Amino acid sequence: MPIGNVADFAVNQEPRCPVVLLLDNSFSMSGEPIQQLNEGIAVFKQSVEQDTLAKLRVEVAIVSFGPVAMCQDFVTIDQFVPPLLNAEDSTPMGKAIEYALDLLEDRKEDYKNNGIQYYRPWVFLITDGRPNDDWQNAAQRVRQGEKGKKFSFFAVGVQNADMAILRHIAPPTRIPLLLNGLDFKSMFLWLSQSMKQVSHSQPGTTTMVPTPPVGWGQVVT
Amino acid sequence: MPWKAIACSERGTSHQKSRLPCQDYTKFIRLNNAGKPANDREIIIGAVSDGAGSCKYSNIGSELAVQTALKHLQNCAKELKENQKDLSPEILEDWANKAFFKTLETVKKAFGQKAKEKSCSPKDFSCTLLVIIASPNWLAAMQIGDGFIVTRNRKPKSEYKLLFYPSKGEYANETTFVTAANALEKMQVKTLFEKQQFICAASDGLERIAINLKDLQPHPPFFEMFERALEIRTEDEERLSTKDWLKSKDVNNKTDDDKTILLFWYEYSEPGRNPSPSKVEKHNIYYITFLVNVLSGIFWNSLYHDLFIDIKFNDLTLQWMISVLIAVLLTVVIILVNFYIYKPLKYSKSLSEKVKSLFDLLIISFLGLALGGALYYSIRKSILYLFQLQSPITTPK
Repeated sequence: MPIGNVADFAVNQEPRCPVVLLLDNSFSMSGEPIQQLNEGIAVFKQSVEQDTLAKLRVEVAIVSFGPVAMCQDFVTIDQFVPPLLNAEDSTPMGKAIEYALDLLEDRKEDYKNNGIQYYRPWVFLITDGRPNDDWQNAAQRVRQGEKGKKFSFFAVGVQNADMAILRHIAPPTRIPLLLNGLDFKSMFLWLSQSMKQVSHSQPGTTTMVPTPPVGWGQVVT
Repeated sequence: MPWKAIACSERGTSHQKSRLPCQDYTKFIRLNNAGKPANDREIIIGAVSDGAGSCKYSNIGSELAVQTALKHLQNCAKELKENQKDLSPEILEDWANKAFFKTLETVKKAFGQKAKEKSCSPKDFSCTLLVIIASPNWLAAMQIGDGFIVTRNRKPKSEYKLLFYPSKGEYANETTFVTAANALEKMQVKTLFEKQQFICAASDGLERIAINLKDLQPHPPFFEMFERALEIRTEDEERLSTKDWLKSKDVNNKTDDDKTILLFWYEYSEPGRNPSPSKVEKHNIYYITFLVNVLSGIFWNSLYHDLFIDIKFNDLTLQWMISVLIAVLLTVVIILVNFYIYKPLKYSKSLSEKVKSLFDLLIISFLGLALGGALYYSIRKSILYLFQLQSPITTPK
């Protein structure tokens, strides 16, 4: 069994557009929410796949928390098989965010060592609760990273999510959004469009997608 | 025409989808000794520019940048021509630094004017810029932003060389533009005081196909295919074929960006001299040499035989003197004939090729002379045998 996740670079030399999905699968997500979330991920794959170059460029990794686990290491969309998440336990959000950021840093090293160009990564956090661990350090890392343009961080709350804490975690320039009901599909569709756009962007393009995006979320004050 | 050159741009598939124009631009001009545009002279100036995807007028910007740079450098090249006799690597470097610095200034100024005309910001013209100036003996180049310049010098078995490391930010969609405040800092300039055979500049659309980004080395097969084509095809043929290639599926599967390529290939020929012989010509020379030498061999041997075997001189010294004189005369004639035939070979491309040609000719000459001698004696003997004669000429005593 090969160690590491770099074998594909020899075959696919396209620049990568990495996105980390940080998904809450705590117990409160059980039932309808987790099912909708799973469907949303499948929609994401289908949508990106329609674009022949984007499916070679967009790389997705999934970190689920409840407890923190690497559900899917970085894989390009053409080889991505959407997982089925089950609602499990608690909400260690702080640990999960730090895990995801480390994963991203390692991935950037892989890109550099293999001469693969890449776009600014996205971290997409979806939660329906409040962290039950120490999240202060994670929040600081998110803000520093966002400021240093290391990645773009998006936070999305579902139903009873603690938006106050999410606002402390998310960077001030991109406030967290509350999902309309359980409309994960619209959200993932928007994400796939954005990723396609980024993966085709050329020098000079600003990768910033305007927030708040219309259609699937709203800003809660 | 010492430089064969091709400049080609094609719109990328992503630009077709989003109905953007081709934002790349490339052009070249050839100059004669007086610094005037002419297709038959030594200096060639070319430029490639890639307009920023996000800027609305970047297609205008890239064209304006290339045109302005070429026009400006044409004047700079004149300056250089005047004191070219004592051109040294230092002078060239100094000249290149100044010339490219001014080029950037001029381009920025042109952008400023155009921005006023269109009442927009100069940033709307954002684009990269790569410029090459080449003579048969040296090259000067500059690069702002991404894209690449690869060269190969005229020494046998020389390798492709990437002139500048691509100036990229951390992310694939970041680079420096001519319009950036720090463009001058980011401008890379290089001069090579050596004879170049092949020069290629391209926009970043072709980067992943032509350059191994892992170790930043040119991918030789990519450049070899252009070099081979330029060697055998005319400029027009190769321009069409390059255009088709840029539009092909093979290329579009690997890049969705606009793609531009600028190619210079040095055609070896010295004014007033014969071009190097082709293979067929070379073989013809070998046949002629062989034939001439066979005839010389027959002639020489017959003369020798008639004079010194059939005719006996009373005076031995006189006989020797005449024989040496005739031998020298014949040798000179044979060498002269051979030299005349050898002449076209003198312009063979490399020294090793010349030596090889000379060696071949020497062997052919000797073989020809030997065969001529053998022929003469065998004919003589067979005639004598056939007619049962002892001696055809009665020796006067």
